[in-house]
Amino acid sequence: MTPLIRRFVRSPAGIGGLAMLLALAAAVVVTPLISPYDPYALDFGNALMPPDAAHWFGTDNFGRDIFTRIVAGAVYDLRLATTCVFGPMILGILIGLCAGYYGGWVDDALMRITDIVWAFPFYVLVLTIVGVLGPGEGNLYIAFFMVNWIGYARIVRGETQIIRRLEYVQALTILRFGPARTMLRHILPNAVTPAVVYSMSDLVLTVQAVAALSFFGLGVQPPAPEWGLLIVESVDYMRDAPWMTIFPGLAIAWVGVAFALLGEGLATAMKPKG
Amino acid sequence: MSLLELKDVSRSFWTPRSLVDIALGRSPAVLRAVHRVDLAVAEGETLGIVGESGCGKSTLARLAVGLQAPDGGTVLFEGRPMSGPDPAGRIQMVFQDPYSSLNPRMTIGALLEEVVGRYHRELSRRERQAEVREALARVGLPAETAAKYPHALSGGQRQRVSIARALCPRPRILVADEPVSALDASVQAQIINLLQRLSRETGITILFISHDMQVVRHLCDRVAVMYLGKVMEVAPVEALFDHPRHPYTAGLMDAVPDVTRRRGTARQPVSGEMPDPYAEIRGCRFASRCRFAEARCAEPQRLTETAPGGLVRCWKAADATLPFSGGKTLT
Repeated sequence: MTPLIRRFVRSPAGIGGLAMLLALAAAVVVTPLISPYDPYALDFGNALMPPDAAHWFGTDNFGRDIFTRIVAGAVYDLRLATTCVFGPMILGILIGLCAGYYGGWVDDALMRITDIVWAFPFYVLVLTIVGVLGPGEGNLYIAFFMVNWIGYARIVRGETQIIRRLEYVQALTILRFGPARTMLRHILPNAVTPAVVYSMSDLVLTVQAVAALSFFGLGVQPPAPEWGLLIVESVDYMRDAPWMTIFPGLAIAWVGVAFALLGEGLATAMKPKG
Repeated sequence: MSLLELKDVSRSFWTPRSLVDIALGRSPAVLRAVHRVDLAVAEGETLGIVGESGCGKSTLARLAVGLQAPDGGTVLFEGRPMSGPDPAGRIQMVFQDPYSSLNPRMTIGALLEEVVGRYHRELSRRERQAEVREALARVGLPAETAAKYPHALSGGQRQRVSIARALCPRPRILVADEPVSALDASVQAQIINLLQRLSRETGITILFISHDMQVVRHLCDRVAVMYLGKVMEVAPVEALFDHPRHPYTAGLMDAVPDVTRRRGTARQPVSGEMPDPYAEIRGCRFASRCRFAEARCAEPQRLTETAPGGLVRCWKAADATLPFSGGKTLT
């Protein structure tokens, strides 16, 4: 795996994205230790203060420090986004591998299921699930796991169909290697690159989707400082205290750009030579 | 007894029909890639299979290793019918494209070690690595090759690795499907010499598929000529090249450029294109391109023995006064 790391390090985009994420991670770890503010404690005397040296991003209508809240909220958004991307990603990759490798009726069955799920508009499906099960973080996971695997299944299926016909896979068949070993050890590493790259842009979209669903009241519930919630709480004060809206928005954009750059770097690093 | 025997083996491919075709009751177009082929491979020999592209020789190779199942007839290995690749790996294959025949993400050592481990489970890690070094040495590669990735190797080196991998299970038959046609001429010679040495030293049986008459002449003991899914002629290599008995064989040989040919002597290579492989041909499949075609050629031709060890599918071959002997000159 060292050549992969070496090529990643040489890609400026990848390094930039990684640095942005590490900066956020450092803030998450360090801020609670040195910040004088509690992300949940109310302080009406300091409500709606504009950004200054004491409150870098200003305060909200309850006088809570917005910088501290954004940093505390990063844990919610990143946990949700990564789980809702990487969990379904593993599921989708396995489904795509099986569909592409076995072909025939296995492929037909799996792809019809994919088509059915694909046919539902995502937000309608989430609204239905949350409507039945009630809002909350756990039900968000269920909704994303039901839908998010599809892209990965399709990408990996296509790659697998191509690789399955390559002569080295046929040699494995003649050498009597079993399907599990052939798929996981020989096809997967060559089929997974586009899925990994896609997962980075999927993370960008999922961070936004999580924020959007919380904005609609379907996801994380207040008083958690989740970024979508921060924005929804700011709506009434947008004209007088725009910093309440702008900074959580910038945080979402920060993470989005970081993952996009990281994906770019991974794409360069994972392309096999020759 | 022959080691590998194809008995009346056929393999067809169907083109999928559209809904309109099905509604109109049209039957699907059938491509008979291999059509009722009988062929026996003797222990220790190198049998060449030649023919133009599209004649079914690659399909024949895939049938011989069990990568594809015949839809008619049987493939017998050591007298027993085969179903799928041999579980003990006694029939192995080397492929045409050296660039897709090795996993690009594994070092040569890792991929050979995996195969060694599959067939010799009792070996320790150290013994497996020794076995890998030996496998590389067998095909004339230095031990350092084990640490390299396929992209760091040339086409010829990759093809050697493919051969080393195929030899790991200690097979009795090596099926080589155009193993040199993607290589430079000088590298071709090295690979051919390697196969020749393996055959001489280990007595391994080789089924060598090629469209290159010169290479086949150099390497093989016996040659089968295929055309449109059928075997047209089988003969020992000298007999075939000295006295081709089928007009197609003669035409194929005349198609090979020969710098020693005297100026002015006429070449009579096969002209024209192969007929539509989907078309149903009842009589001799070559008749549409044959210079000697007559009315009788519209009847099915049988593969008959005309000389010891030589089989020809042409009724004219029995006629000793044929004008195409030696593939050299005509009157």
